Amino acid sequence: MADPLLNVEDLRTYFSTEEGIVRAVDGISFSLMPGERLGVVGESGSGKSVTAMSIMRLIEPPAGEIVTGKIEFEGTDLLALSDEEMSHVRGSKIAMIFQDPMTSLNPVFTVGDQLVETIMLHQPVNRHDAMEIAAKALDDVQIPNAHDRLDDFPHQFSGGMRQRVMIAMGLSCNPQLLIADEPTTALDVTTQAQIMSLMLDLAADRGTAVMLITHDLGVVAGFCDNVQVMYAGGIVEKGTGDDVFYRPQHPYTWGLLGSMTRLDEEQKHRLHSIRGAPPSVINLPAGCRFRPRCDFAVDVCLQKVPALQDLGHGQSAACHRATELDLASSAAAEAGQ
Amino acid sequence: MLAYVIRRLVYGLITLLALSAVVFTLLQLGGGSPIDRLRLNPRILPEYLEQLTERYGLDKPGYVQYFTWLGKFVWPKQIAVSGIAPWIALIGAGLASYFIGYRLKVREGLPKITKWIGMALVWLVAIWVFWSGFTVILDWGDSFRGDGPVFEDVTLAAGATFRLGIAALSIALIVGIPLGIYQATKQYSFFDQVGTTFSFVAFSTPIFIIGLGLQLLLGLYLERWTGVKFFFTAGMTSPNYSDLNFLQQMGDIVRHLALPAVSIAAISLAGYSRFQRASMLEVLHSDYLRTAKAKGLPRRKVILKHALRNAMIPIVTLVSLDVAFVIGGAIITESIFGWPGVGRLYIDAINAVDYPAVMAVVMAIGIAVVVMNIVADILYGVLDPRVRYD
Amino acid sequence: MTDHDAETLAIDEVEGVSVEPVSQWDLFITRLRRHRLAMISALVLLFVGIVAFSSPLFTCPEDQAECGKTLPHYTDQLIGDDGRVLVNIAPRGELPFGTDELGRSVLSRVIHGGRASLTVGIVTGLIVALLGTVVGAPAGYYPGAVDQSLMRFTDLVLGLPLLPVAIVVGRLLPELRFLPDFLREGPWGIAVLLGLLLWGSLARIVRAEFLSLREKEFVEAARAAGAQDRRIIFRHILPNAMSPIIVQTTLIVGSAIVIEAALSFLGFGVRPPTPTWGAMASSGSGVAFRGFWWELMFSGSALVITVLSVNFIGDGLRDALDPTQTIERK
Repeated sequence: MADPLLNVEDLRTYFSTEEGIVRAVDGISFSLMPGERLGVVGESGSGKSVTAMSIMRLIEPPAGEIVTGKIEFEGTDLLALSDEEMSHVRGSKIAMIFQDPMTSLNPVFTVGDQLVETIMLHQPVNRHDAMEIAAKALDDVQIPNAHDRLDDFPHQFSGGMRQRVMIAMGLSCNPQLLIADEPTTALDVTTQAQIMSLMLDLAADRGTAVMLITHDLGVVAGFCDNVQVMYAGGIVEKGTGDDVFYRPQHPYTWGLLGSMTRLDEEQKHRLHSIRGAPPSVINLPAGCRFRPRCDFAVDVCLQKVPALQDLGHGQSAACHRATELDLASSAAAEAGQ
Repeated sequence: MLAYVIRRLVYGLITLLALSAVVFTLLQLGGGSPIDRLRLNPRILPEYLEQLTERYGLDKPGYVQYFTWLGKFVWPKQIAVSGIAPWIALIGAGLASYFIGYRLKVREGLPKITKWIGMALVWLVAIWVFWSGFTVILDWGDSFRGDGPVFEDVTLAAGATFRLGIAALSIALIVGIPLGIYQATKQYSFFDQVGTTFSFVAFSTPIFIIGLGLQLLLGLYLERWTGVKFFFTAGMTSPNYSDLNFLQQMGDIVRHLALPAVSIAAISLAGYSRFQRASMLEVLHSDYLRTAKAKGLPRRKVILKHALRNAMIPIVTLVSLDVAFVIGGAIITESIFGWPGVGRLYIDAINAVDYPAVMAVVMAIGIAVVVMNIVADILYGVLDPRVRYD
Repeated sequence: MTDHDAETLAIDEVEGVSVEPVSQWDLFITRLRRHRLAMISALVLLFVGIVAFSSPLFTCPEDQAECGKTLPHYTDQLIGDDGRVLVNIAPRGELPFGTDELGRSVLSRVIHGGRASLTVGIVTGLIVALLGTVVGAPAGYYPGAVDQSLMRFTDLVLGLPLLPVAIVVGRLLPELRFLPDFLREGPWGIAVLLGLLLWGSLARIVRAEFLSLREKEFVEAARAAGAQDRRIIFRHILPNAMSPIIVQTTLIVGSAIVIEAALSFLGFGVRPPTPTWGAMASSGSGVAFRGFWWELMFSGSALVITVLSVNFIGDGLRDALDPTQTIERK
């Protein structure tokens, strides 16, 4: 097996607030192979964006801090790099696309200026050549009249077009890894799928690995090789897209799936919803974090924090009862009630 | 854009008309006609009074007097352009801006803003050349205190106030803006807390307290304690100014200017640093700054290019609008430091209810404020590409 | 027990999930308490107010015999044992703030001076709040001609250079015979003048607030339920627009006090012998050059402390009244 592109070990990112320490990411480990598409799923506040920001080292002290952990990228520990060395990694080897394209581009510079800035930062080209590369990049993301639109300001583009610009900017330096933090959430439903497949196709052409952060399980099932599900700062389940989507082993994943509307099935019963609200990450419940909301909780769940256990064929779940529970048949039982 | 500027100019003219009408009416209402007031002054000869009465129609009804004044106020008595240089400057600037605007391809070499900067520089030089060869004399009336034509008094005093105001604004900008930026980048640090407290106290202190405090501490007591005169506390230059060499003259100007300029600057400075801090903090937490960091830009460049350019937009407007405040501050400061500017002229005129002088100064201040408001709006549009004029 | 009850109970059990309701008022009080400077400022201002407005109680214009025990009246010249007026006496035991160049007690004058400043602050604030709302609310609620004409007028008032106009009016105020006496002399005239000049910024804020609130769902709902404009404006929109009105008015109170002091300093505000902090700073500055620093010092300090308190309260109110701010943030 080849060396992983990215290897995260026991990452803990905490934020200090007046109320106490927020353990936004609390001891997660995962790795990513070159060219792999990894989906990271979870509710808001589950720590998925903080994970991405930690990898980019965009967590700003004193508010937030990476307390412990290792983030190895191509064998070098990113956390050990100086600020200057890190800025050579950002944008050139790891690029990131953010959620809201309306506010992610600087309003006072032209789109061309912002693209050229990135290109000249990481490639030894003059401004004229950078302009050509920028025009090519806009053309790649299917923006019409790419050459002329370089002179336009961000507000002259629609939301979908701006996200295309962000993708062009992210991929302009051929990074090894593209982190996309809910890239289509803020967009029109009709353009979401377009943008998503455009982004993934371009990444595939360049052999770029993608870490796709989303709360939309459907997107992950359709586009990703592997999936990991996060809850309250930890990973609760991971495996291939098919396994997690069709054979969930953690009650939380199962709950998430149950709360989705599916167009390919006839709706026979009310949508399931996970009762309660996510715990405050300041005051985490003892034992399993999902316990207060779990229908299957037993005594051991209150006493011990479940570790991620391997269930074979690459799937693993952080649940004490993962092997004994048959979530699919209990779902059927509930449906029959 | 042109339509917008014209509309703003029309509004500005209406404001100025309203201002003149309000002040004129007040002067008429207060204590009978100006002529009655003048009769009380034994220094003024009856013949002069008759002359004035005839010239300004002081025996006619108020509204007639107002329109007589207004007509003379706006109608130039004399306009002259000396030589050919001013015309060359104007035509040259026109050609240059056509070249910069339509022929110069800046896209591949320099960012777009250079066009605007180039255009502004060309016009500044052209206006300066034109102005120095241009004379206009307006009939703003003769002072009732017997000081001759008010127009001359006001233009002379305006120069003094201009010097004071520019110095004060420069100090406030040069200190206030970097202070605010630095505070924002070091939010909640000790320095930030001190800066915030300072600006809050300065913002709450009336300008005359600051002026008197500086005058006493740095002007009077400092000299008493050290035996050395660092700053002058009155006037614009020393009596022996013309005997000094160039360097000494510059030193003399600075030593006279320092205290009144700092007095006016202190409050503006506090305002700028507070405002700049807030606007910078907003930008620092913006999504596009996160994008800039994620692109791999070094922190220095993120702040000096991406953050600053956005955070400067509101401050430009604030500075232009601050001109009204600086003139207000100058009125108070000039009376403390004996500065021969429009402020002191105004106080003297108003004490004597010298109505041509009062009207002239009020209108001069009004014009300055209106013009700066329009400049503020235009600058805002130049700096922020999202603004559309319609 | 039904399923629904079980679920409710289960939610209550969940750790870290607050179920206790917190009202806006509770939040406001909690936030304001946190702003320690604002609380101290409120106490300081209360103290200044009580002392200034109860000053007739402990000064003695009529009964001269009792004067040794209480404060002298602000117009009284103090006579020494040798029969000479005690001019420019430095602060000492029975005269803690000293005397001015006419031999009057500076302490007594500082206390009385507070009345002018506070009267101007309060009256101007009330006029501004009233005018700003009366002009801004309809402008925001009725777009089109009403909005256009009201805002053009507001722009006109905002375009007037404040201090020069205030100086003309201040100078001529005592000569405007058609005005009632209480407006021609003393702080009331200055307060009304500043109120008439300062309402523009508030009107703009109120307009912006009404403009955004009138599109909100709860206003739509009220309109759909058949509520009339009057009811919508007063019952639904105005209460929600109160926060910015209160904050802006507080800040205007601060600047009104400063402007009154500046006018009095220049001699166009409240006329002598009524003491004001601005006029005292003016006369105090003259003698300060001869080393008699106390009149300037004490009147200036009183002024700065008062304005600072008002501004701190404004700052605290801004933080406390901002409903978008959660309790966690500093």
